[in-house]
Amino acid sequence: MNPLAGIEATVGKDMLHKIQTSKILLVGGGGIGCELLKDLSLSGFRHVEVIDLDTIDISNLNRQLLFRSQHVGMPKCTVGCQVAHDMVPELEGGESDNLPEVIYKAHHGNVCDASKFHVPFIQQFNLVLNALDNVEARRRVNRLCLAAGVPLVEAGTTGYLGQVTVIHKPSQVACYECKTQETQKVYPICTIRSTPSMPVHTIVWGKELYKLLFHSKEGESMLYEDLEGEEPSTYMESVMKLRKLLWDEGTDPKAIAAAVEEVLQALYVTEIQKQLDMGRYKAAKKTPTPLSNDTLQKGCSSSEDCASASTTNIWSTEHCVAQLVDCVCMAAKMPRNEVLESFDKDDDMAMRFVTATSNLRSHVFGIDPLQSLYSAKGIAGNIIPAIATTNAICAGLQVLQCFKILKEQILKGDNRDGLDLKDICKYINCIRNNTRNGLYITASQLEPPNPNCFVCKNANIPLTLDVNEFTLELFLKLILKKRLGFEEPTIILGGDFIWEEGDGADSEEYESNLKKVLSKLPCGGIQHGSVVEVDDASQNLTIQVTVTHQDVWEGDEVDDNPFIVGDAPPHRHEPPRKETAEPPPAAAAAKPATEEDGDDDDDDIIVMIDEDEAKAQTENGDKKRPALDVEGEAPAKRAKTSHDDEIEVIEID
Amino acid sequence: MTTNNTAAPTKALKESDIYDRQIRLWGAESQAKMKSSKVLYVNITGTSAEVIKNLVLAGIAATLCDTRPVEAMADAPHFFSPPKTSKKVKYSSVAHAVKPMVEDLNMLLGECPILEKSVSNLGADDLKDYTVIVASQIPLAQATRLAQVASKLKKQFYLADCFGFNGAVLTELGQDYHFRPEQGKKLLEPQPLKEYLPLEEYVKVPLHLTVNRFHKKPPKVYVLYRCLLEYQAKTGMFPSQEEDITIMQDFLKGQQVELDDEHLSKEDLQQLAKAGVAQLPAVCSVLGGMLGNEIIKVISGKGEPANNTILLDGGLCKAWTFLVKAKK
Ligand SMILES: [Zn+2]
Repeated sequence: MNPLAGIEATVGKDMLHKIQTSKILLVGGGGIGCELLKDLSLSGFRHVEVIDLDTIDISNLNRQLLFRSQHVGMPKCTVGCQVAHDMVPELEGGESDNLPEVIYKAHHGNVCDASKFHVPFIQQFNLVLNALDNVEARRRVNRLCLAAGVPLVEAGTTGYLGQVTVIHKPSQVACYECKTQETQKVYPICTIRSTPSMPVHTIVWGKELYKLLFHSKEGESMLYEDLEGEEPSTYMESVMKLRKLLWDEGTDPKAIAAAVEEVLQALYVTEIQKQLDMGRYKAAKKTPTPLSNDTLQKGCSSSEDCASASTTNIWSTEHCVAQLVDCVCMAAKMPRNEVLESFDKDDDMAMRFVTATSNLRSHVFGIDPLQSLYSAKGIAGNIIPAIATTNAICAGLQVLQCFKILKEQILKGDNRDGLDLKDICKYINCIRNNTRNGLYITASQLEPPNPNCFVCKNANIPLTLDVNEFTLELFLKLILKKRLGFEEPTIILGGDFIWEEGDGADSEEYESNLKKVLSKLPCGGIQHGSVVEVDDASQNLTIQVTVTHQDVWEGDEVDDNPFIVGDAPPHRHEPPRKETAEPPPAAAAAKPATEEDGDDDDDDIIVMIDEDEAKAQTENGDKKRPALDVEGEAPAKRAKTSHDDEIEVIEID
Repeated sequence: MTTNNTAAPTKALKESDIYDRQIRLWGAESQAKMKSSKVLYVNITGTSAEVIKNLVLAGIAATLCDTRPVEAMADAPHFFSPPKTSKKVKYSSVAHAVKPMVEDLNMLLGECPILEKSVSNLGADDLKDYTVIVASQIPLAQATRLAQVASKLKKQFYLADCFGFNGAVLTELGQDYHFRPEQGKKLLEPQPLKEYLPLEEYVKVPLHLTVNRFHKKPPKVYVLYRCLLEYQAKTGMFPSQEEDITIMQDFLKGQQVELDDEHLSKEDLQQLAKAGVAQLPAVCSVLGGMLGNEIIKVISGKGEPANNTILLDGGLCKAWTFLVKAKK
C-alpha cells in the first residue's frame, strides 16, 4: 500500500510530486520547528534543511516532540533532522526511483552568520519556514528572503495565541518589519537605581547587584560608582570590601557574613535613609521605608536551610536576608571561575540571590506583589509560556500555506518574480476564545507593505561589484552619495558600525577604514552575500544593500545590469582605484561639532529594554504583528545612553 | 552534553522542570488535574495521534483501544507509526504497534495501557475510569451510543476526524457540564453551557436546518463529514478511490440540501468519495491542536469550551465552533 495515497488523492499527482522534489529551508528547530519537521516529513517532503543554534534543554520536552531526555544537551537541528528523516514514509517498489534522495540536513549555527547564510544560500530553496524565538533572527531571515525573492512563511506563538503570515516581496505584501516598530518598554536607569515602582524594576536591580558583586569587572554593573568620583553612593565602599574578601584565599566565612551584613545595611538602610534625608522622595506618592535593623540581624543570624527553601512560597524579609548571606558565602567557597559573572535564571544560587535582593527592595519601596522564586524566575528570565497544542496548530497552518505557495509555483514555473501570493496566502490568527461568529482560527488578506518600511519598500538594493577593488571611500562616494543620494551615511555591518559621519558622529574613529577595500573592512568585511545596512539620519533614510561580488565583467552585461544603481558601474577597464586620487568626502573631513559638554552631575540615562513587556504588548496589541514566540528569553540589556535630567519622582501608573 | 549513564538523566527528570513552560500558562493546580486524568482513545488515526501527542506531552496519560490490524495504518502514517527499523516486528493490532511509541514520548507517564475491546463492545464499565474519550473513524451509530454512555457517567466524549483538507469534531459535554469562563487572568464562577444538546439529538437535526446568522447555508465541512459518516453507515467502510456518489447524493436529498456550484458542488462530493478519510499531516496537526486545547479546558475546568461541533476548513485556513441545532 502506498503510504502517500491519501495525500495524493487529496492534493493530486502533480502536487505530490512537487512536495517530493521541493527544497525547504526551516529556520528554528524548537517548539514550532519540531512540529513542522513532523508535518513535512509525514507529508513526504524529501529535502529539508534546518538551521538552529540551540541545544536541547529539559524544559523543551513538554512540547518539542522529536526530543527525548537522552537528547538533552545535543543540538536541536541534528536530533530533529535524524528523527524526521526516518519519519518520511518509505515508498514501495520503484516508486521512489525517479525521486530525489531523502535529505534532512542540519546546520548547527546562527542564521545571522552571514558567511554561511546569505542570499545565494536562500535562493536554493522553494520557500523558507520560520520557527524562531527572537526578533534579531526573524529580521535577518525576513531581509534575506526579501532580497532573495523567496517566499517566507513566518509563525509565532505565545501561550494559547499564534499567528502565521506569508512574506514575499514580489507579491507586494507586508514584510516582518513593516509593522515591527520597536516599541519596547524602556526603563530609565534612575527608575532602576532610585525610583522603582514595579516588581520588574527591583528584579532588574537585583540582576545588576549580582553583577556588581560577582562580575570580574564591577564596572559592568550599572549600579557601579567610582569610589574616587563625586559623592558615590554609600553602598560602594562596603561592596568593594566584600568583593575583595570574596576572592581572597582563606577568608574566614564569618568575615564574609559580616561583610554581607554591611552591604545589606548600606543598600537597604543607610542609602535609603540618605536619600530620604536629601528630600529625594518628597514629591513621590510613596516613600520608601528603610529595612529594620532587627530584620537584618535576625536574618543574618538565621540558621534556616536556604538551598532547599520553597520556590513557590513568598519568603519573609528575614529569610531573604538569610538567603543573601547564604548565596554570598556559597560563592566565596567556590572557585572563582565557577561563579557566574552575570545572572542566569538557570543557576540556582543566582536565582535565589535575585529573588531575595529584589523582594527586599520591593519591601523597602512598598512594591506589590512580592515574588516567589518561581515567579521571579519568569520575570527575570523573560520566560514565555509555550505549549504543544498552539505550536501544532501554527505549524500545520504554515504547511497548509506552503501547499498554496508550491501549487502556485507549479503554475508559474521557475519564474520567481511572476509568483503572486497576495490573494493566495493568508494572514492567520489562532486565538483562545472564539470570535462572535465562533472562529478560533481566522484567515484574512495579507496586508500591503507599509510604504514607509525601510526594509521592504524600495529600500533593498541588490548591488553587484568587486569587493576586492572597491574601497570604503569609493563605496561611500560613488554608490551611496552620488547614486543613492545619501548625505550622511552610517554604515553598519553585522550589527557594528564601520562608518559614520555628520552631526555628532565620531568620524575620526572610522577614518582608518576609508582606504580599505570592502572585503577587508572590520566585522568580517563586505563579502559576496553580505547585507550592509546604511542609515542616514539626516534624511530619515535606511536601506539594506545586498552585495554580490563579481570580478569578471562581460562587455554588455554592465549596461544591462539592473543590480547596479545609476549609470556607471565599476568596470574592469576602468578600475575604481583611479578615483582614490580624489580628496576624501567632504563631510568625513569635518570634525564633529562637539565631543562632549563637559562633566556635569546628570546621570547617563541608560534605557533598559524590557522584552517581557514588549511581548505582552504583542499579545494584546496589534494583531497584525507576529508574536515574538516561545522561549524568547533575552535578558534586559542596555540599549542606548543619552544625556537627560534626572527624574525626581517615582512614577506610579 | 549528556553522560553515557542512561539511568542518571532519567532519575533527574523533574515534572516541574519538564512542564515548566506550560505550568506558567495554566498553573500548578491545572497541571495536577491533568496528572490525575486519563484519556481513552478509540481508534488511533492520523487525527487522534495528534491529540495523543499533544496531551501525552502535556502530562495526560493515554489508554489505547484499537483492535484493527496494523495494515489500517499503512496508508496514513502518523507520528506514532512504528519506525522503519522495527518493521520486522509483527504487532497484533494498531494499539500494540502504537503503544511503545506513546510510552517513549513521555517517560513520566509510565506504561500506556491497552483496552482490548472492539468499539461495539465498549460499555459503561470500560469508560468509567476515563475523564475524556476520543474516538476517530468509528460509525456514527457507535459514536452516538458511546456519547450516551459517557454522558451518563459525566464524562466528555469527542468524535474527531480529518478528511482531506477538512476536519470535524462532534462533542458530547453532558447535561450537567459546567465550566469556569476566563476574564483576562481572572476565573469566573462555574456556569452551564448556554445551550446544551446531546450528540444523539443534534445529529438528527436535518442538515438544511443547520444554519445560523453567520452561516446562511449549512456549513460545507459539516455536510461533507455527515456524507462520509452516511457512506460508512451504508457500506460499513469509509470511501476510498470511490467514484460512485449515489449514496451521498441520496443522503443530501433526504436532508433537503441542494448541490450548487458555489457552496457545495457535485465535484466536492466526487473529491470526498475519492479521498475519503485521507489524513493530511498538516490538517491533523491543526485539528489535533484545537481538540487538545478543548480537552485541556475540560480537564482543567478553565475556559469556555467549544459547543457542539468544531469545524476546520484547511483550504481556507479557518476553524470555528458551530452550534448544530434546528433553526426555528
Ligand atoms: Zn516591510
